[in-house]
Amino acid sequence: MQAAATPTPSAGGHVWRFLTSSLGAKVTMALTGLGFYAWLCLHMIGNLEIFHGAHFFNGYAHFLHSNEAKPLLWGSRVYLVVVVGLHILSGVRLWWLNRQARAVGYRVRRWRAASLASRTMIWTGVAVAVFVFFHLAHFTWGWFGGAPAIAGCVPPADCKDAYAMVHQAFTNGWVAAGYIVAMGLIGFHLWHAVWSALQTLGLNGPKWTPFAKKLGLALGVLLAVGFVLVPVGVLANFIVAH
Amino acid sequence: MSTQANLHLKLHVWRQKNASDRGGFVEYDVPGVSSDMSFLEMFDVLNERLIEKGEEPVAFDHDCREGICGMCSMVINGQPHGPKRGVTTCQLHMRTFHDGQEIWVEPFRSSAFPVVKDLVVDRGALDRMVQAGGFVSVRTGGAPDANATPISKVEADLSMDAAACIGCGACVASCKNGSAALFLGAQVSKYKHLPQGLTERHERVANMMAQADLEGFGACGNQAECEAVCPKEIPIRVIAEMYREYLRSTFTGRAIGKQDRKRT
Ligand code: FES
Repeated sequence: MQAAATPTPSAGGHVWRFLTSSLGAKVTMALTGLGFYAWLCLHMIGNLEIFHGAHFFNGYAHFLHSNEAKPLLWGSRVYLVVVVGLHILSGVRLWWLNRQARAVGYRVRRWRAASLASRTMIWTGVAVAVFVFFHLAHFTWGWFGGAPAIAGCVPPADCKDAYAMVHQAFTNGWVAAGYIVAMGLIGFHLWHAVWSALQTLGLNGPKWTPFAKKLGLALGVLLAVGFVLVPVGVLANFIVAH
Repeated sequence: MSTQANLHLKLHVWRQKNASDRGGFVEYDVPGVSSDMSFLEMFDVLNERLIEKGEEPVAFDHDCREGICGMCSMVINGQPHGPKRGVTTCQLHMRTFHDGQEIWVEPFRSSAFPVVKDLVVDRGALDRMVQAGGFVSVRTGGAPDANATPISKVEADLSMDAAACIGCGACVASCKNGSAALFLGAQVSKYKHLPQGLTERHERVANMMAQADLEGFGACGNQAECEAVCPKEIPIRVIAEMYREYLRSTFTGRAIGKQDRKRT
């Protein structure tokens, strides 16, 4: 009887309540989005190694697939599945909730503040997800041919010529254009995403918020340009066949 | 000096007999509208004419007609409270429009605000959110000394800016996601900055958020459309404060919400 007088909430109780609330889904979006962004930066820096030449780039690719790097490779795979998975799940959940929240729409709609990027997050998100699938099929699973062998290389050494694979892929103008458009969409998504994530985590202030918005744009452009340098490098003959 | 002019307008007004009626737009030709009238007075004129013709007048919500009660809810040409910033529909003057203009008038659209009739919606969901936590529990007694509880000017101003909310629901109506985050943030923020509000800060935000989800409001997308249409120009700063309050109450383990109470 006495115990009932003082409520003793379990920590799990309200953390669960928080996570299942719409705000919990938003915070999950924010954290996983930032987590994916951080990983993409590493990916981008790795890609730019291609400008060091075939030998260096293939060495880097072989290292990533070597035994020493196994924990790193699998660790990042698990990380990505969790982070991107949660991002997609919460994103779809929020999209669905928000659709339900306005069953009947407006005949006329005029936006004062909501940017195009902010209004199309679900669609740029879906487009990026579709791109990531094709990207994995292209370069990771090798559905469209995969990596050729390095001339004169003898197994059991790793003979995959990652450099040639990338070079070949982007000599096709359509493939290069597809990648460039996809990177544009990621940049566009990030334009709203970055400052939105920071706002969702409660960071807002008269000086901070205008800065955070510019930061979002800058980080979006940075990532998109970093990735686009590779296909552009191939098309502009900076990256040549070896 | 009078700059008063007569306008001839073409109105498309959402007409819906009751909650279960499908509803649709009806076109009205409205000549002889003075530019000095408010938008609601223009509706009064239209309604008088409709009554004379033996037609059903357009139902719309209104009360104070001076921008403080938050009743006059309608979406005018795609914007809650019309095209002017920082005003309610009752304070929107017809001089904002030009002669011959076509105007579309729709009710606030939100699944949590069912249409009662024509432009009248039921915004009881906002009241239920207030009941869930938008209050401070105070034992009334002798009036306390005015200066007994010092509050800094900065905090008092932050609280007052949030307390300017008139609960009109334009934030919900304007939001692409139909979210009530600005309203909820205003309730949380106005108490957060005052010592009287701190006692119940943890339950307040958790219970109000739970109620908002229950009512079927959407989740904020940080698009700031609400801030731009709010007749009281409440900033989205209050939304970030509400998030901080919820995170704090969750992870300091002190959010004793209603549901937790029932469980014990
Ligand atoms: S009628 Fe009271 S705010 Fe418009």
